[in-house]
Amino acid sequence: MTNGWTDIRNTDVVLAMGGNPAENHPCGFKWVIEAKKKRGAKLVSVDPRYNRTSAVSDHFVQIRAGTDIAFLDGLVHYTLENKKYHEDYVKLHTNALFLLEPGFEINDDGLFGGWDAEKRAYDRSKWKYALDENGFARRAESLDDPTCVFQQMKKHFSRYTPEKVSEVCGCTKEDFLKAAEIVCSTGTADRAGTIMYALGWTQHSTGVQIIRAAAILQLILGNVGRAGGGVNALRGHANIQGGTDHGMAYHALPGYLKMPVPSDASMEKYLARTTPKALSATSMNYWSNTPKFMVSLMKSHFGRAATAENDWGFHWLPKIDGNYSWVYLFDHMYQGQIQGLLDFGMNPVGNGPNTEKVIAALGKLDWCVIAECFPTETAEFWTVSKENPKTEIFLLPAGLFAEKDGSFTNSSRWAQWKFKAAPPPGEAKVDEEILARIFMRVRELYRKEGGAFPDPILNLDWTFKNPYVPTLEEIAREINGRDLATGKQLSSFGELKADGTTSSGDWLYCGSYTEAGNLMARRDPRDPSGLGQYEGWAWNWPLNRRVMYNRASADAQGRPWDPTRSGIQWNGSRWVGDTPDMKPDAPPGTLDAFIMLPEGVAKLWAPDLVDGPFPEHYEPVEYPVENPMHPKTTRNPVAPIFQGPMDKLGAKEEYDIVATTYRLTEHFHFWTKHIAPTALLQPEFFVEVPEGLAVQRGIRNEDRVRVSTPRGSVTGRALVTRRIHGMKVAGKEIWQVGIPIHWGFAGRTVKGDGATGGRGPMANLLTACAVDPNSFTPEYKTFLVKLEKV
Amino acid sequence: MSGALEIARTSATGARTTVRDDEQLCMLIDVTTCIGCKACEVACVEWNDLHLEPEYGQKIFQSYQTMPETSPSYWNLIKFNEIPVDFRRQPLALEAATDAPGVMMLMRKDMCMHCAEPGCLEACPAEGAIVQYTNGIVDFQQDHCIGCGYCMTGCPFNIPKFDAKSKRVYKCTMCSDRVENGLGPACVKACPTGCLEFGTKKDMKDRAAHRAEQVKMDFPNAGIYDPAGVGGTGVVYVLHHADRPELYGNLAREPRIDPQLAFWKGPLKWMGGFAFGLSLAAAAIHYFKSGPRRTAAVASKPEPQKEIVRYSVFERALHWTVALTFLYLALSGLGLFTPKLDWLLAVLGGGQVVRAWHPIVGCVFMGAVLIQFAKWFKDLLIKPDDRVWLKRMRDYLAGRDQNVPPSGRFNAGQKITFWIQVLAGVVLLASGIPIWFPEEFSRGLRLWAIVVHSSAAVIAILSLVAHIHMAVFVTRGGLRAMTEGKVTEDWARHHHGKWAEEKLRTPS
Repeated sequence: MTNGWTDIRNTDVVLAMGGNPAENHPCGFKWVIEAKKKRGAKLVSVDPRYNRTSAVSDHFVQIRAGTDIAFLDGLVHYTLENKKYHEDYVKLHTNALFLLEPGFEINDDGLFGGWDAEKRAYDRSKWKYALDENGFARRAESLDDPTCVFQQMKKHFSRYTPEKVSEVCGCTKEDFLKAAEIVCSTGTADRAGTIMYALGWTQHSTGVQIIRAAAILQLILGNVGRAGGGVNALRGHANIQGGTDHGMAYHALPGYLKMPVPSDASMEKYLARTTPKALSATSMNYWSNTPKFMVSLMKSHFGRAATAENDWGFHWLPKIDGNYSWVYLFDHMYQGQIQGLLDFGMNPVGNGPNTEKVIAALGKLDWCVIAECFPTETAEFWTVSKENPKTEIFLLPAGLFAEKDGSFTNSSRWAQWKFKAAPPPGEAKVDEEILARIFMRVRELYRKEGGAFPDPILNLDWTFKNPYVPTLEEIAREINGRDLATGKQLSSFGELKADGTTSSGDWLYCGSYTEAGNLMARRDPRDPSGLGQYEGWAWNWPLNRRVMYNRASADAQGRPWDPTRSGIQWNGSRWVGDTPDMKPDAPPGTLDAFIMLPEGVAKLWAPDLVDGPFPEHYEPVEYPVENPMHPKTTRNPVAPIFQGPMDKLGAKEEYDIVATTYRLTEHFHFWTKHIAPTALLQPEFFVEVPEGLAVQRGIRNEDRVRVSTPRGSVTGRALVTRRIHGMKVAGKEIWQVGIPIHWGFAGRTVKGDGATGGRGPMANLLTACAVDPNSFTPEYKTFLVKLEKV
Repeated sequence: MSGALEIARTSATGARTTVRDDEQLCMLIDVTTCIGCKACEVACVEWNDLHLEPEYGQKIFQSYQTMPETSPSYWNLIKFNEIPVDFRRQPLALEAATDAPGVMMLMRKDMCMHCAEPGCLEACPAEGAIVQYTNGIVDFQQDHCIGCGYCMTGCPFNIPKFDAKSKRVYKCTMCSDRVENGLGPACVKACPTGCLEFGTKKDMKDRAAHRAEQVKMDFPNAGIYDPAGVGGTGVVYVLHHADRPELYGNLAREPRIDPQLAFWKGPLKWMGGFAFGLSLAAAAIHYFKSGPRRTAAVASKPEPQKEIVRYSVFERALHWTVALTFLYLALSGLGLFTPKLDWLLAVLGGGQVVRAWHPIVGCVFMGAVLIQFAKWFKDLLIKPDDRVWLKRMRDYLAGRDQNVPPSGRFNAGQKITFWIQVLAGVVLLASGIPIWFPEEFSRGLRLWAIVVHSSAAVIAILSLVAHIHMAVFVTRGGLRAMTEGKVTEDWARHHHGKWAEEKLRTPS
C-alpha cells in the first residue's frame, strides 16, 4: 500500500477492483465502512462477479475477466476528456511536462515502437525522454506541447472511449459512465479517492500494466501521497509484505536491491549497473545510496569476513543466470533440472498453476523437505501421482505463526511484533530452529569435506547466542543493523555507509529496532494526527512513514492541498506532520516529491516495463474473442507462452466459457480447511454458474458439473447464481463462471468424488502456466473452460 | 452493561416482575454494512464451545449459505439471499426472471432475537428452563429443560433447536456469561466491520435510527426492525428494505405471541382447572345427596346367588391397561400442562423422563383403547332404548333406577363416556404426534396441536371423573366386576337388565 489500512477512512471514493476487500480483507475493510458511515464515501466495485464487496457498494460494474486495463484506460480517458484531472498536481508531481523522443508510439496493430518480432520483445532504448546536455529530461512550458508526456498520454488513451470500454469489457456504457462519474470526481484539491486492489490485478498476463493504469489514473486525479488516496495493494497473507521486503522473490535481495547477474564481475560493476542516475536537477534520486545499502547488507551477511579487499564478499552471492520465478522453477523441475526442494510454509500443489504439472514436477525431485504444520497436498502429492514418484519426502512438523514470536508486516507496511501464544506441539519446531539446524549440519559437512564452493557457507556470519536456535529478536536486531565501530543499533538508513563500518540486513527496516528498543512492539493506540496515522503503533517502513510520497500531499509552496487532511506541510523551516517523504529541511521547490525515482516526479509515461510505456489492453493468454482494440495483436505480445507437453492451451471454439478463480471469506488459502470450525463454513467445492447459462445447459442449483481445460478437470456442485450475468463482447455472447480455490485432497473438507484421480477439487488443476512478462506472476484470473453437467 | 444477571421472569411459574426499570441491553445488526464474513459464526462456535462433527458435507447451496437454519450446535447463522433488483437497486418481485437488471445480496445474521415478550418463554412448561434476565436477555437453562420443544412452537423466529443427543433445546445466549462480566457477546467482539454493536436498547435504537436515515438516501424504505408484536426485541436490525423483512431469509413480518399460545397458557388453564374442580364437587354433592346405589333384590333368590361373568380376564387386563396408562397420561400431562402441578413431574421421574414416556404411554393407551373398541364396538352402539335412558338420566342420577329402561351390557351413560374417551383418544393421538416430533411439522400446525391436545385432555379427564365416580363410588359392585370379573345375578338384573336376561338365558 502507498497509504495504509487505517488511512482508508479518510477517503471520499473507494474503487475496489482486482480485489475483493470485503471478502478477503474483512478486517481492513472496516475502514471502508467507516469512510462510508462517517464521510459518506462512495464505494465502486468492479469485478467479473458480484461479490461481497459489491454487496455493500454504491455501484457495481460487472466486467469480463481480464479486461481491467480497458476499463482503467477508459477512466483515464474520461478524466482527461472531461478535464477532471488535478492540473496543478499533474504539473508539479508527475512527468506530464517531460518531453519525449518519438518512436515509442503504439501502432494500429497494437504494438509499440521498437518491436522486434523475432525476439518477441521491445527494444526499450527506443522509448526515451528528450534529454538536455546534462542528461536531464527536458520539460515543456505547458501541458499543450504536443511532444510532452501529457499530450502523448491523451493521444494514447483517446482510443478508450466509453463505447470501446463497453465493447471490450462487456459492461454497459451507462454502468461504466456512472462508475467514471464517481471515481473521477476526486480530481480536486478537496477530494481524495483510493484504489484497493489485490491478486485480481496482479494475476494476469498484463498484471503489471493494470497496476500502471491504476497509478496513472490516481496521479492525474492527484490522489497519490495524500490522506485517503493512493494505490493500495491488499496483501493476501499476514506477512507476504515482509517476505517481499526481505528478498523472498527470486529477483531481489533484501530491501529491493537488485540481484547480481553473471556479468556483474565486481561489486563496482554491480553498483554501476544498479545505481540509477538522476534525470532531473531537482531529483533527490534516493537510490543513489544503493552502495551504502549494499555494502551494509554484505556486512550483515558475512560480518568480519566481508572486507573492501574481497569486494565485501560480493562473489559469495549467487548470480542469477536466468528466470527462477515460480512457473519457470517448476518448469525446470518438470524437466528434471532440479534435484531437491526445501519447502517451508508453501503448498505448491495447491498454489501453483497447472496442478498436474506441479505434481509431475515434484515427482522428478530426488528429495523434498517440507516443513509444515498440516499434512498439505504437497506433503502428500505422491498419493495422487500418476507415475510412481522417485522423490524422497521429509515432512518436518513445524510450528505455526502463533507458536513463534517475530513480526508480521501487513499491507500498510507496518511491521508489528507478535508474541507466541503457545509452544509448538510435540516434536514440532519453529522454522528458524529447523533452518539453523540444517545450516549447522551443512556447515559442518563443508568444514569436514570441503566441497565445491564452501566460502559462502563458511563465511556466513552466524553469531547467535544459541546457533541452533537463533531467536527472532536477534534476527530483528541484525536486520535493523548497527554501527560496527560502537556496536550500537542504528536509528535510520540515513546512517548507513558504504565503507564497511555499518551493517544492515535490510536497509528498509533500518530504524525498526534501535537503541530505544524494538519499535515494532510499540502499542500506542493514540492518533494525534486524527488521520489514522497511529505513529506510536508498531513501526512501518520506511522510517515509520505512514503515507508514502506524502510530499505530494502539498502544493508547490508546501501547503496541503486539503488542510483538513494534511499529510505533511512546510512550516518555514521544516516539513511537519507524517514522517516526510522528503529531505526534512529541503524548502519547497528545491527537491521533487518522488524521491525514489530518477525523474523526481511520478511517471505517467514509463519506459521501465517490458511491454509498453503506456498500458494497453491485451486479451488473456486464453482468450474468448480476438482483441477488439486490434485483432492483429490479441494477446500481450511480450508475455511468454510455455509449450511443454503439459502446457496445453485451450481454444475459444472448444473451451467456450471464461473462468476466473478467487478466494472466499470463509477460508484462508488452503489452510483453514484443516480446522473444524472454518472447514464447516464452506465444506465443499462449488462452481458459481450464472443463472442464464445454467438455464441454457439444463443445470440446476446443486447439480454436479465438470469444469475442464486441456490441463485438467474438476467436478463439483453448481451454485447457480444471479450474481454473474451473461454479456455481449464484440457481438458475441460470453459467459463467465467462478471457481473458488480452497479445497483439495487434504484437510477436513469434502474431498471430491475421485473422478479426478483422487486429486480433490483443486481449482489450479485448470489454470495455465501463462505469466506476466514483468513480474512472471501466473495468470490465475482468466482462462477458458468447458462446462458440462455430470 | 455489566452486573450480575438477575432473573426477571422464568418459564412456567407465571410470576412476572417488571423489567422496564432496568437497563435493557440490545444488539444492533446493521445489515447494510454486513459483509457476510461469518466471523461471528466462528466466534459463537468457539466461545460457546459448540461441538461440531469432524467431517461434514454441505447441506444447501444457497448463495454462500451452507446450512438451512441454526442448529443446536450452531446458534448464529448468516442467511444469504440474492434478490433481483432494478436499475436503482430497488427490489423486484422474487420471481423476476433472469433478465432482472441487477442483483443484490442480502446478508442477515440470524440468531435469537431476545424478545421482550418471548414466545419461547411463554410456551415453556418447565419451570426455570427459560429465563429472562432483568437486562432483557432470554436464556435457556438446559438443566431444567425437559426437551418438550414447546419453545420451538412458541418462537415466531424459528430459533430454538432440539438436540437429539442430549434431548434438550439450545439457542443463542447473547453470551450472558460474557455480558455478566462486562463484555459484549463474542460475535460482536469478532465483527470486523462494526456492523454489530452492543449496548443499551436506547443507545442502539438511536444509532440504528441515525444509520437508517443515512441508508434512506439510497433505499427509501430503509428502517429499523424492532417488532412491537413481541414487545420489541433485544436484537435490532437496520434493513435496506424494512418494508419487506421477508426478503432477508424469511424474517417474520409481524412476529407475535400467537393467540393459540395465549389461549393455552391463560384461559384454557384456568378453565380446565375450574371444570376439574367443578366436576369433583358435583360428584361429591351427587354422592352425598343420592348416595351409593345398592343392588335391589330383584332376583328374589336365596343366597348364594348365581355369579355371572361380566368381564373376561382379557377384557379386565385391557381395561386396567387403559386405566393405568390413562392415569399416567393424565398425571404427567397435568404436570406438563400447569406449573402448579409440576411436582407431578418430579414424582414421575423428572421432566425429561416424562417428556420421553408420555407419548409412548400414549401410544400404548391408544392401542388398548382401539382393541377395546373393536371388542366392545357392538355393545356400545347407541340403541333406541338409550335415547329413552338419556332422557330419563335425571331419574337415574337421583337413584330412581326403576324409571329408566333396562340396559344392555352397558348403559347409555357408559356408552357416552366410552365414546368420549375414544374420540378424545383419537384427537389426543392426532394432536400429540406433531407435539411429539415438532421438527417434522409446521409451526402453525403445532400451535393448533397444543391447544387441541390440551383441550381434548381436559375433556377426557372430566369424563374420567364421571366414570370413576359412577363405577366405583356410586355403583357398588361395579369395581368387583372389573377386578374379579363377576357380578351377582341381582346386580346384573338391576343395572343391566337386558344383558342379564341374555346371559341367564344362554347357559355358560
